[in-house]
Amino acid sequence: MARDFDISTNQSTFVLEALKQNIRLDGRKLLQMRDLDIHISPDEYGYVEVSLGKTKVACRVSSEITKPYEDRPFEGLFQIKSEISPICSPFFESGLTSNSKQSNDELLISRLIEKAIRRSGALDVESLCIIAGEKCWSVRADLQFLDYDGNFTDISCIAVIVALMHYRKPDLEIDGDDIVLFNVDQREPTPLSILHIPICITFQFYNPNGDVENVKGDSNDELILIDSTLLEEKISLGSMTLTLNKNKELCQMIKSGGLNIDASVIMNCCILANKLVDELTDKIQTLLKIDALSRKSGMERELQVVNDR
Amino acid sequence: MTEQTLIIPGDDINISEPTSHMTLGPNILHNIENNNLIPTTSGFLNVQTKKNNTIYYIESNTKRYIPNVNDFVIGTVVGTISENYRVSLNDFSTTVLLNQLAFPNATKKNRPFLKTGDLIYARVLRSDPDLEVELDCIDPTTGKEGGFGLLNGGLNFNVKLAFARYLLFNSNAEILNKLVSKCQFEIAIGVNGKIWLKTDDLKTTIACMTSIQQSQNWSKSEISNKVDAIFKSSGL
Repeated sequence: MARDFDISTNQSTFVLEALKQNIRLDGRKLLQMRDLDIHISPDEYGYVEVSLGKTKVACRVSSEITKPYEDRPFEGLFQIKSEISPICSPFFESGLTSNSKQSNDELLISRLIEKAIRRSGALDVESLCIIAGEKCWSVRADLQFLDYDGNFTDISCIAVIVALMHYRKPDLEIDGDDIVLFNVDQREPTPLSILHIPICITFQFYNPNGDVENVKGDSNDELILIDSTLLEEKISLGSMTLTLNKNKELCQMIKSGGLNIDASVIMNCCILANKLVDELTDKIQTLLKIDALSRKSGMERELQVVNDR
Repeated sequence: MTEQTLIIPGDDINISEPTSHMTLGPNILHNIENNNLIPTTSGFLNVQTKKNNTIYYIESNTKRYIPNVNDFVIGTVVGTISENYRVSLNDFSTTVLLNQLAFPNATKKNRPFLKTGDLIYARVLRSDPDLEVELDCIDPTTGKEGGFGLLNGGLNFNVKLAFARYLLFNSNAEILNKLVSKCQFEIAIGVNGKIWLKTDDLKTTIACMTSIQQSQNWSKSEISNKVDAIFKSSGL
């Protein structure tokens, strides 16, 4: 059984030839992203569906009250769960074994997001503490991958961060040893405290003259592109993921093997990524602002109930 | 004459004028006991009358290609096993065989050399449920090449299976007629939902590919304008 995409030599040579002339199969330029479409659920908090061309993921954020870890009594819990099922592409198998290529891909993506969002401190976990050492919020982001056409890392990072920014946890009051939780109708729920908005940008590298040229040759005329489709991802010689935020802080940089790249090229990538991150952050923030305006406040909601009767 | 009725499995197929000569196409089962016709899939019933023969078949769109004898397919060579090439017709499905001697004028000493990743246009020679599916690259009527064999250069892409059949079996498909008026191209259509296309120019190839892929969702009247728009936006 051939358990992979069959990419013919015709396709790979054609794509490379086109990339040399700064053309991509879907009509984009090399350093141009596909249209980012963010759908925020209009009637609940913390559910978003993000699509980038054909690639699509959904993310839901939920929370519950638990006991914090013994060694970190002042911190709440935050975890990101992602599972890639064959629903998005037969390339990903369910029922993972430790050495299958699918589980490696999945591991890579989940670690990348984990690093980009959790370990970069995007969510202030100390603000999730309710009573030190006793009670805290446990926030959980569930990622679902719905359709696969390349670039899972960038899109899932956007999905998680938008869902976190959109989520509201129920308001509570501490009364001695008791915690009183308030319904959405009783008190306006409170947003999570997000310290910065990390966004991943993945670069793919190609060398039309073969990868050896980059080690030995003098002229490193490699091609760089962002937001690769499935076909482009499959024939790339190496990739690099940068995570930045609007404050020009580089949260992480991952380049696991692949084509040798000059430091100056990486610097250029950072500058370019920074520009893109600015655009994306603005887009996310305006979308969330529009969404917040469209939502009714608690008072309005109550009045509406009366009106309906 | 073509008329279309929606059929779901188990429906009765009413044949208004039973003729002595009838041909049953794909997805229709003949129950010998009571002489009934049973549809095995949901889709549109197609009735075609040719001279004194009537052809009945059910047309529906599927996602996975199942080989049938005499189908024209496009496959990717994925390996070699003794005297055979392993060819993949579908992503993520069982590969099929192509004998190294199944080419016109091929002998043990003189046979075409295919590499992994090469694209071929072939015919399904045998597809028994119990045996491995086999392809060949010989036109059975003439014993010559007949357009089969290695596809050089160009670009291949996927379309829906029903659309691929429509393009292959309708010599005056609107989209192809329109493209002919725009540019020169070579095309090979495989009923396994793969299309190979080659033009002189890279941009034209991409424009043609986009037109064909997107025309799957267009109505017939839109085709002309939308193809013009695609060619214009890519600067041709």
